[in-house]
Amino acid sequence: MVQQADYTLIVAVECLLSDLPPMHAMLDTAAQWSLLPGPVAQAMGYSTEPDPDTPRYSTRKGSLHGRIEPVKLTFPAELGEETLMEAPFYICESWDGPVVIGWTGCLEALCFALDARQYEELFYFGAMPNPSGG
Amino acid sequence: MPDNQEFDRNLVQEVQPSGNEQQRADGLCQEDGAAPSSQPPAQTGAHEPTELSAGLAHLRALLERQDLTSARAWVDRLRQRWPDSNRVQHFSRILARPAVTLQRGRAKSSRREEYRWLRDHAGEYPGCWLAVLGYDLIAADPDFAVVLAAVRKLEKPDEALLHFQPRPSP
Repeated sequence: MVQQADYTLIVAVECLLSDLPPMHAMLDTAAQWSLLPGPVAQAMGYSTEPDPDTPRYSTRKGSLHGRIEPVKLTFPAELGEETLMEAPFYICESWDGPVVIGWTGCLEALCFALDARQYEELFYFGAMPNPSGG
Repeated sequence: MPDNQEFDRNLVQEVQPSGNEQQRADGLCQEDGAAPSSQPPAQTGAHEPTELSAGLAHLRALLERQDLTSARAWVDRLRQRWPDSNRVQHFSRILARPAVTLQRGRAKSSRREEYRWLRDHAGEYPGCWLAVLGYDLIAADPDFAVVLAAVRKLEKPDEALLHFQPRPSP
């Protein structure tokens, strides 16, 4: 499974969020949560009202407070099989950055690799092998 | 897995009024999950809303410390204790180990032209959402809804690519 990546968000990968058109998201292996800006979440019908049970989220742009919701996420592939999952996204109205693909419930479930050579820029991805060997 | 009485003691420890949240959370994170033996067991059912709030506060503290393993173990215990709680069900769902499905769908077309446009021009639109199709810009605006509306007017909206162009770091 191969997909081209891009450089303008350091590492950007194409994904499908719910029923939205294809979108670039920043792949960040250091991010605890995947992250949705408020307007993107609203376009998918999610509330952006902070949830008091949801922990604050510390980012390089400061501490955020929002809510976490499961979102249907697909990584389309140029070669091989696309990957579908339901991943938790931290939704924050005040986040003014890109969509972020983070660790919890998302990258932790994938095998992935990057080829960062200029004009190659490939994102290889697949599901984690079954530990039982099946 | 601790028995219910031990679980109740943990929650009683959680709602003790002294100490800050971190200290209380630390007190619950001994490896065996046991609270100090001086804590009396809770009367099951007598204070469930308070215990539930305390349990969720502890879950929040674990997540703020990015202790995902403990958070998953804790939410499993909350789910056993309060299986009908919508809030517990919510956190149980978002902390579940994700299931990944592989599907041989329609192959995604190459984005070579879109990437070329982004390399050449995206920097001209800091702080904007962009919609690109081939080597053409469909829309650019700081408001995501404006760009999304423009894409949805296309004959094939799924062929466009949405992209957010960050502002340069100061």
